[in-house]
Amino acid sequence: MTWLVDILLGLGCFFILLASIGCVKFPDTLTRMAAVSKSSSLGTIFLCAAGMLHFAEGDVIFQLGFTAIFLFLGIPIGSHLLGRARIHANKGQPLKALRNDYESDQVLKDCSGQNTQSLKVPQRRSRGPQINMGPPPTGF
Amino acid sequence: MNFLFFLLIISVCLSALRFFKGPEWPDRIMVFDIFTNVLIASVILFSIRTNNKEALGFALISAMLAFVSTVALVFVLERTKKE
Repeated sequence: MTWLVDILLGLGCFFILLASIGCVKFPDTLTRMAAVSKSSSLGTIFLCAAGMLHFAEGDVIFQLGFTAIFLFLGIPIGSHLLGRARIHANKGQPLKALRNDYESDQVLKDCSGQNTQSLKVPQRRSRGPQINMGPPPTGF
Repeated sequence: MNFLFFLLIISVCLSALRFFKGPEWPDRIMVFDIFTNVLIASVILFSIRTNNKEALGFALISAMLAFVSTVALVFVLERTKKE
């Protein structure tokens, strides 16, 4: 059984290393956040499984299982809050997303109180490198 | 087993590079995720290496504290951006 524990420990540390490499190499805040949240939590869950297999007692399985559950519940919520804060304060380094639905939703929300019959709805599926739609139309 | 500690040390150094270089504050808060994961990983490696299962309570506590600290830092960030 020791070889299985060794393999799980190696996989866990390797995934944490991959998370840090992605944190350095990716160009954007949101892509970095994707790399960090998924890969590092997967690595820690591998390590928890290795600890469970090595000790194999009820107490240790309880503690490490709750550690894995808290990580699995906590890290998506935290990364979602971080991404929301990053998109709300959209200044500084520009986001390299192909489509930014938040900006088009803001334009629609600004125009919602006015006559929307003759209003051009901005296209949501543009293929450009970055959507730049200018100021919202006013005075209809 | 020592090789795995070396991998964890390399990952801490790389994420600290992003912490010092990161242009925005969310980049810096994001690095704490890797830090807490490395903390839990090193606690589990230590407890397996020394056959000491009493150090494993620290992993549970730090997994809770990671979530609470991330949420608190994000709320501080949103409060300071409005003004």
